[in-house]
Formats: sequence, C-alpha cells, structure tokens
Amino acid sequence: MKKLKKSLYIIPLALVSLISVIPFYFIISMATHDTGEIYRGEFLVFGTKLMSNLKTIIDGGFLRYYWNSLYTALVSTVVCLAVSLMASYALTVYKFRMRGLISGFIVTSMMIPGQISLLGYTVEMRNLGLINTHWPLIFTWAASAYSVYFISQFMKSSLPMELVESARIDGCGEMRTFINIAVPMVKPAIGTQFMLVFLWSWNNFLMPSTVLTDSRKFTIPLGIQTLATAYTQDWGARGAALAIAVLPMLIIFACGSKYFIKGLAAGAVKG
Amino acid sequence: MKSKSGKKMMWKWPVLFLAPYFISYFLFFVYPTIYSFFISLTDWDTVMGIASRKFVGLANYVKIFTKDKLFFKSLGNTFSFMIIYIPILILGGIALAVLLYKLTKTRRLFQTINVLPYITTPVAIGMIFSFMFDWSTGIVNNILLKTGLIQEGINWLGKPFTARLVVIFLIVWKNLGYYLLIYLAALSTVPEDIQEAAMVDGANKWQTFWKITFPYLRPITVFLILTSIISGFQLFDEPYLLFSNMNSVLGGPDRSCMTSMMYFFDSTFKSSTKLGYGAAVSYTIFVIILVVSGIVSKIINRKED
Repeated sequence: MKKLKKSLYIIPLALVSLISVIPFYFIISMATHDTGEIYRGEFLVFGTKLMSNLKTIIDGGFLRYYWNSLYTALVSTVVCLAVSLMASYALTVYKFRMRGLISGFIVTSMMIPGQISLLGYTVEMRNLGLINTHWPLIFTWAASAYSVYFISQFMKSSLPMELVESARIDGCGEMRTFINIAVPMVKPAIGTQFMLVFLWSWNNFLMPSTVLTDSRKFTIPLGIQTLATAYTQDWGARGAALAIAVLPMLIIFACGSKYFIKGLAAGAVKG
Repeated sequence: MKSKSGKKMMWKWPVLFLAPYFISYFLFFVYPTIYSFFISLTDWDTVMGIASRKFVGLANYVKIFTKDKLFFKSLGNTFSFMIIYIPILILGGIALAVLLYKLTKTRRLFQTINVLPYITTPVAIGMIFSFMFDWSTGIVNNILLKTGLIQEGINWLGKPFTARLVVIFLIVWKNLGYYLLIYLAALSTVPEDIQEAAMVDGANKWQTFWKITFPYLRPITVFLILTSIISGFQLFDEPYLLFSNMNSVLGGPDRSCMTSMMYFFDSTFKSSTKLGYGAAVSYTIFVIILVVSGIVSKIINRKED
C-alpha cells in the first residue's frame, strides 16, 4: 500500500523531469542530423551527421568563443572570491563601530537590480578605452554583495574566534591569519560561490553585448546569438553549436550538484 | 599614546580588508549608476557624439510618460507575463517539493534533473525554444501532427497569443526546478513533531499543510515573490533570442513579447543609439520596480496581521 502511494508521488515528478530534459535531447538529436533530415522531421532518434556538423561549427570559429568564455569566467570568479573573502573576513573577525551598518548595507544592496548601472557602466568602459576587451566582464564581478553575504554567513558559523586569537598570540600577522587560518575553514563556501559566479559569468549576455562588437572577442552567449544569422540554412550546425555550448556545463554542474544546490538554496532560505 | 596607536590598529585592518570591495563597488556600480542618471538628463546620442550633448532636464522623462506608447506596451507585456508565471511557479514549486520531500532515496536525482534548465545559458534556451516551436520544422508541431491532435501545424511564434504562451512556458520550464529546490530546503526547516501532533489531533492532510506547514514556508514565499518581480522586470535573454530567427520582428508578432528590458536595450544600443533617452527609460524601470515591490510587500505583510 505504501509502495503504491510512493509510486503515485513519482508520476508527476517524473513527468516534470521528462519535460525538463526533452529540450536537451532535442538539441543532441538535431546535432546528429543534416538540414534535410530535420526538415523531414526525422529527429526523434539520433542520426549520423554529428561529425560533419561539429566540423562546420569548429571551422566557423566556435572554439574561440569557448576559450573567451572560459578564461573570462575563471578570472571573474577568482577576482570575486578574493575580494569577497577579504570583505567577509573584515565583517566577521573585527569588531568595529560601523560593522552592523556595513553588513546591513551589503545585504540591502543585493536587492538592487543591476540593470540600473548598465548604461553608465558601458559608457564608463567606453571612456576608459576598454570596449572590445574582456575587462568590463571581469570588473562587474569584483563587488558581489551576494558572495560577501554568503561567505560571511559561513565564516560566522565555521571560524572559531579562539583559533584567530591563538594565531595572533603565536605572532601570526593579520594577513597570514586570514590566508592560512580563515580561508581554509570556509572551503565549502568557496566551492559553492566558485560554481555560482562562474555560471553567472558564463551565462551573461546583456553586458557583453553592450561592450563587445569584435566577433573575435565574443563569449559563448554572443556566439550563440550570431548563429541565428550565421547558419540560417544549416539547422544541424546550429544544433551542434548549442549542444557543445550547453552540455559540458550541465555535466560539470550535475556532478557538483551537491555543493551547488546547497548554495542556491542556502542563500534563499536564510535571506 | 599607547591607546591611540591601539585604536589605529583596530581601524587599519578592517578598512584594508573592506577596501577592495568598496572601491570596486563604487567604481563599477555607484559611479555608473549616478552617471546613468546624469546621462538621462541629456539628449546624448552616440551617433551625434559627446560634443553636441545638451542638458535637457527632465524632458526625456516627460516624453516617456506622455508619448512613448511602445514603452508602456513593453511594460504591460512584462506585467502580464509575471502575473501568470509567478503563481504557477510558487504553487508548482510547493506541490512538487511536498511530493519530493517524501521520497528520500531519489531526492537528489530529481533535484539535479530539474535544476538543469535553471543553469542552462538563457540565450541558448531562447534559441532551443525557437527551434522547438518552429512552425515547419519544430518538434512540437511534429509530435502534435503525428499523434493527430492537430490537423495542420500551429504557427506558435507567429501569433501574439500563442507566442506569449510559449514565453510563459519557457519561463516556467526554466525556473520550476529552482523553486522546487528552494521549497525543498524550506520544508526541511518545518519541525515534524508539530505536524504529527496535528495529525493525531485529527487534522486532515490538507489542514495540516495549510495551518502547520505553510506558515513555515511563508517567509521564503515572500522572498521568492519579491525576487521574481525584480528579476521579472529584467527578463531579456530568452525572449530576445526566441524571436531572433531570420525575419522575426524584435519582440515577436505585434511586439507582443517585447519586455521592458528588451525595449531599453534595443533603443539604447541596437536600432537607435539614444543614450540619454535610454538612461531615462532604465531609471523609469528602476523606479517602477521599487514601487511595485514596495506595494507587493506591503500587501503581503498586511495579510499577515
């Protein structure tokens, strides 16, 4: 009886899950067919044209977008984590008069929609001569209120003040206490934030499309957009491009889903 | 003397550790935000160059509220999407989370599968859906025709009503897993003994859920509604790419799916380059976000009393 009930629970969940993955199946399938086959509607099962579609995409320079996205996202993430860790350390370890106020300010600023600064930011970058470089995409992550909030919450609960005190008594400088004691204690939070910021940077479309016009500098989302006009007649190539743009990320995140899901949920449930 | 240097020590380190954050915050957020407002008071057009830029006061704002029908249409579209998809996401997220909460073994698997759409590059989602709902080659029409549910292909993205349905379906598809995940985490904060006590006292499952469990989900629901409103006004990537095919009009048929961010982006950076006017549009959107989320949180909190 109980088993029957459980399987009844599974039905709606399975149905929603199926709808969640069907589009991905559809892209993979498209990537394995040529345009003619797709027009005839033969894409419910996989075809054999994967290699030729991939070749079209790679010849079209899609790997370059990949590299641009990869290193921009990596640098952004490292910068964001370094800045956020330092700020979190200041807000957790030191007791100073404005601490409550500053923490409150950072939490409140999380709610401000980022689009309000977009236009001014683009013009600022233009004035600095940074159009068609990847700097604007990196700078935008330097001050992430969400990362500071998340890491300092974690630090509060997992960094014992006695440890910091004893390190100081042993003659450990502030900088070394921070790097050798505090940072290792919040590794799980760093892992979570690493995945999230990397993902957000990787997915970003609006910002790069205002500061990048040179297609050699394009990141993956801009590359995907150019596909719409570049291969108007080659549906298989478009499918292949989408597949290689989307699937590796999904696989990496599915493997790290433990940390990642925790990070997404923790921010919301505590806030 | 000694205490003075001690005090200096106390200030030095927190300031040093906070400096990178606040310097970046000022340079890359506060300054551009103020700069945007300054630009919004000018008639700056990129094509005309900075030299011919003139201060025009609030003229841009006046124009938005008196002459710009397209802006209000895009705002109306954004509202109509949110009014439909936010309730679906909240109720769907709760329902799925309650079901999944009972399944301890398969929980992680279902969570991971359903969060995949949420982490997929939004631009790619827009394009995938434009393929799926394509009139002639799309898989959706293909399946509907093969199963005999329809006699001839539906031009999903070609008619305002169906195009809007596709956008709403897309947003629900993308975000449902996120809501599921959040509610699942929130459910684990509900103490089980209270629920059991209510059941023992003769409350049925429905009553137990609404009287005992739901109050625990309330704060998170408020959070989700407010963040959905804020992000809803910034909806851009997916509908933008949904209509990027060959000869589609920006924002879909009859501009039925043009969101306010799409309007801002297009008039500032693409089809026209009116920076001054665009800045005024983005400030107007910002104020509307503040007002709407303020009103909504007032309504929600009043209900609580």
